[in-house]
Amino acid sequence: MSELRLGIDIGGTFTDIVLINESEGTVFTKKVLSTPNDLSEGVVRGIENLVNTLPFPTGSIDFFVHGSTVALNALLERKGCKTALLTTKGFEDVLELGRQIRTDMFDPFVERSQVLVPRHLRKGIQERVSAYGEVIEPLNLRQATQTLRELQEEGIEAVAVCFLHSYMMSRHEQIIKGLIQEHLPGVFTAISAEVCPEFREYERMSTTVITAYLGPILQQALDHLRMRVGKIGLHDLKIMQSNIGISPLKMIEKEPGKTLFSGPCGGVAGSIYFGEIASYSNLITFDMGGTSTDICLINDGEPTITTGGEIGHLPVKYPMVDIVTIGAGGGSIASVNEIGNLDVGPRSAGSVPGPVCYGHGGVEPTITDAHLVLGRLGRESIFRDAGLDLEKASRAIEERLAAPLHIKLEEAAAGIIRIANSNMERAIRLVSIEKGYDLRDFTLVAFGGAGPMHAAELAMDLGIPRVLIPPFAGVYSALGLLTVDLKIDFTKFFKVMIGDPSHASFNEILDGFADLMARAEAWFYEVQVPPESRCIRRSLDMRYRHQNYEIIVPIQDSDQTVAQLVNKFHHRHKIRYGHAMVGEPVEIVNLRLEAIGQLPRPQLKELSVSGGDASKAIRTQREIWFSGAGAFTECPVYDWNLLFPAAELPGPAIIEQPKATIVIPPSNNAQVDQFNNLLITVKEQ
Amino acid sequence: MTIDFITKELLRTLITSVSDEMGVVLVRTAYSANIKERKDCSTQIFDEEGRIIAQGAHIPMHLGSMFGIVTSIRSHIKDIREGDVYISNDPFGSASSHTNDICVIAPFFYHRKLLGFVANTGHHADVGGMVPGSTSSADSSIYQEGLRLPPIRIVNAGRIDDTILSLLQYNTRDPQMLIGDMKAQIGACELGKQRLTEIIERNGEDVVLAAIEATLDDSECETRLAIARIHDGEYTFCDYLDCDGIRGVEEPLPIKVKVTVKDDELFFDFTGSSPQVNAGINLVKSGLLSAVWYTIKTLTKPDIRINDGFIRPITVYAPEGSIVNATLPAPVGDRGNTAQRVVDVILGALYKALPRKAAAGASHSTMASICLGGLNRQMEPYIYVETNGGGMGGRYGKDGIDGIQVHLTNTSNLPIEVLEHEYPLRVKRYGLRPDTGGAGEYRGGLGIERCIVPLGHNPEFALSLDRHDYTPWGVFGGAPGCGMRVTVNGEEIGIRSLGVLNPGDEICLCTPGGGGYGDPYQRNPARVLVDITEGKVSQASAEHDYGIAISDGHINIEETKRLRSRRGQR
Repeated sequence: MSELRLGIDIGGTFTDIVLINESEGTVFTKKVLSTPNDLSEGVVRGIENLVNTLPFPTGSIDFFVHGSTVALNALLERKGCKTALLTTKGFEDVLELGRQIRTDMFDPFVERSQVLVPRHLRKGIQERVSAYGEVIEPLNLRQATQTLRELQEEGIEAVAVCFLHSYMMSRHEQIIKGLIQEHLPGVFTAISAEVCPEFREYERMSTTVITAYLGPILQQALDHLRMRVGKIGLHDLKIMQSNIGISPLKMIEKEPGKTLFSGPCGGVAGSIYFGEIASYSNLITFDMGGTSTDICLINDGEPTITTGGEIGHLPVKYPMVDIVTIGAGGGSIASVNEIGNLDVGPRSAGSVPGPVCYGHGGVEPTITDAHLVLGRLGRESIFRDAGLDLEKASRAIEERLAAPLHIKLEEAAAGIIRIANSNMERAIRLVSIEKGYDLRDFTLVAFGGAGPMHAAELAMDLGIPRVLIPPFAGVYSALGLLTVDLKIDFTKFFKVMIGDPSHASFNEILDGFADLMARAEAWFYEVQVPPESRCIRRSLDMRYRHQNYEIIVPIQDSDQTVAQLVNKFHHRHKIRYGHAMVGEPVEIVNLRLEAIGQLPRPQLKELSVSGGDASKAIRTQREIWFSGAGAFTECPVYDWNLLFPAAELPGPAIIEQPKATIVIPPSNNAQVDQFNNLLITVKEQ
Repeated sequence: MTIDFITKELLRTLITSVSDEMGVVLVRTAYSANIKERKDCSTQIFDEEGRIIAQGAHIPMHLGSMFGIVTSIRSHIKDIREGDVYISNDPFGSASSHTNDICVIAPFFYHRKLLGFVANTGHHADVGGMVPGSTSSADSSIYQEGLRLPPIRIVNAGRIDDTILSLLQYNTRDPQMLIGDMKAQIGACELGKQRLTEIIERNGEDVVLAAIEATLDDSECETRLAIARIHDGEYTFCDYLDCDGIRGVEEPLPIKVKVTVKDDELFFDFTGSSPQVNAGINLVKSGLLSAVWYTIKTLTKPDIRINDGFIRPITVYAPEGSIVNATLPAPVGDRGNTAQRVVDVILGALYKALPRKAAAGASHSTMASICLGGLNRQMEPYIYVETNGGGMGGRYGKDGIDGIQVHLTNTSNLPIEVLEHEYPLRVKRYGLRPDTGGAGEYRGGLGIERCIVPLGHNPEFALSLDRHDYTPWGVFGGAPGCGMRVTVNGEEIGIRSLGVLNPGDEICLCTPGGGGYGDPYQRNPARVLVDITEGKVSQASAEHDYGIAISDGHINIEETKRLRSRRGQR
């Protein structure tokens, strides 16, 4: 087992580093500025800074995971490589047409998301396969070869291949792949039958094109990182994937699309881990940062996984964590609109110029400024000097909001926070209703710079009974990287009717998994998962016949008959959609197989319990404004680092962490557990 | 009672959120693809007088489609009781814009007092009638368009009325879908009532009602401010539907509007539009309102919420018995093309008043719908219906989008791989039609070509198309887009034809391109070059329409100057 585990979350602004010493359950952390031009530089510097203070050499670190935003940023900024698409002749425009829908119904200036491959680089190849996998028109090799020659002259760096019905019959794509390797050596190739062998051509094509578009970029970035950290003795790097599993680098280079949500997955993984420690498995993560907020629903310890994800309106069919992003954060700007109402967002002051109180030139008041004016955010904190400019923030809110609205400064500031919360409340409600869950069964896990300031009041509005604030706030996502397993997903189109004796039998379904099993075995071998840590999870994409969407139904050991699967499907359909159509024909569309290489969870040192009185952790008192009171109330300000297990903190109170502030509103109480989780019991409204 | 603006703002968010939540639960629990995937549904909250408090329209075609429903309910149902739910789909009773849309509406009581109604509407795949799917331009009266339900009670004080359910079941080709969707609609109403109760319990009835009044007033104020920015004046425009296509009326059908902008109010007068016709393309008043409201929303503030306040400064007049305000017994099932055209006509009227906003050339603006039906391999009947996008009109500063749904509709197309699995059909070609966008400084978007071949059977086909003769016009010197065209084995056929295909026949639907914006000779040559490189504009068109000469893949500057100056002398 690994003794020293290193997790690194490489973000746009900061690179966060966490090192766990397994034998002692101790955790060391470091935060350094990211180096945008060459991210690996910041990584190496950060590791050296951290390890220099510790009694072990970098070479003794035997487990290293990182979370990366390289692929996501390259996609969002359209900085991928020059890519061509080969598709069935007559269907070259599928990639551009998408589903023909506009992303905003009412904006007359709406634009289509920029297509990754321009029209002249989308080439039709003469071939056609039917919906049943029969060749209707044979692949025209001569024409294909001629097309590749043309592409060669274009200086193509990557090629995506997606033929109609290739999920049924992949031979044509395979042949083209061979031709590309022959005629365009060194060019990155992605074929849809390998990337995403599922039906629905646009989504499959989009995923394949994204793979090709990002492939060379990710490869280069990872090569670079590997080389740089190799020099300081770190090898065998792993990366977080969008499915909340990690993968060795060499297995992911061909599938960059699997890392698109690498960044936010760390926080979700950490939430599952700390939720489990605190014995809560139904969670809503609430990661509120400066410009946006990520929300993810975790049911029974499992995050919601979607296979219908989109990034920047481009479909990505890989299983990925279903994270909903709201464009609101601490930097969201408050303003009075033309009819004299207070608006919060959607504009943001971002990191430059940022909130007024940062003094970097921001003039429009933000959510952060409101917190400062209300005393929730300290002008100085236990962990930093008086860096925040209260006067400026007050003046901005007074002049731009309070005066035109004819209300008191504090009322305007409190209004900003309440309105911001109501926007968040709406988003969280829709996420839970859409999935068919009841919020009263959930715990809100708050992190990110601004999350813990809003969480308790938001939970009150939502009827969520408790809030969990996990420890290690500043480097939480990096720690989360160390709490998950190795994982890979395999999928296969397998369309059969079930439920009738004339339909597919249970064994036929299981047999369908044979080739996926073989691929899983090969993967276990390749990533060196010992037999006792291997785990296989099979599931089926099922639907009622003629439906156009599927539900994932896991196959468990207890499942022995088709009838059990069908019943389970009805049951899941009822939970997800509110009804089941018992008696209707049911069909399987895809087989899915998850291969998991189980890794031991980090064992954090359990802290000893020492009484409930937390008053020793009170460092000062501060005047805080809470909406309900309508006046400033004197509140204790606790030092997070001085809290200890079983400490009881009656609200109203403030807890300051190095990178975040926790607000406990009046009538809410908080308690610390033996792993330094803070649990706020939310007052029922 | 007065309330502070923060409370007002919080309650506004909460109440509009209720209409959204009803929409989410309806989409989640519905059975049919129409509601679940195409999201052809919407939700509304009314007060007890029937004013629109909030709505969550997934499809703009529904924006006004239930306007007036509360009055209609109150005149039909004298004893409105807690726990009741009513349904209606009568286009002439303010319930819908065609019979497929069944409105489900429930009174909302708080402490035994009627405070309002929660409602939603969904497009049901089949409500009986002459043709599968219940809508056809070939209908000659509403009586061919399936069940027409006046407001009737489907849930009686909490108990669902099985006789009504079986009446519905007996009158649709797909009972399971209809009943399933109906139950989902009832469930959405339940959620709406429950959430409104929670909100009132937390905040107090007086506060909530005051917040609603204030919110409506705010919307009115916002709308008036936006209208005041449009130059005062009278603006008229007329465009034509090609024909009714069915009953032999081959004459074009005018849709005419006069928009009067006066201070902060808008008046729409559709006098001069064609009388209603004996074909299913008529629009009822509520459908007309959807089109008008949609257009104002996009032109003024795309994010404005449509409620009673929004509509106060807007007056819409259309002569009764006209194609945009049809009366009984006009058939209305296939009203989409007409509604779409109303949007273009308003844009056509206002583009000079709002050159940087309204300013689009006309879009393809047809539902471009094709329906094929027959027996599949298992000898079971199938119906394939699909609407197709086309070119959007060129806009101020931007080209129109190529191959996209516009205006009142925004439904996803069916993947080819799904189509070929589900139906005995094969798609031969599917792509953009080069050179179909109207030339302009900002080009109109390209139309779409989609060619389908039936396999081993003889399906019937029906089309509902337009803009064959009257193609999408350009603005400020932009050229019109290329018109609609349908062929069978290369031979052009009528755009509203019905007929039978033989196995192997290839039917091609070629949708129109959008109209151009501005003088094509002002178009940045680099953009023309990109279009040529991408094969969206041919070299010939570049020379002829844009005055751009290309040699060896580059712009020939001398020749371009010559071409462009030549026109100046013309």
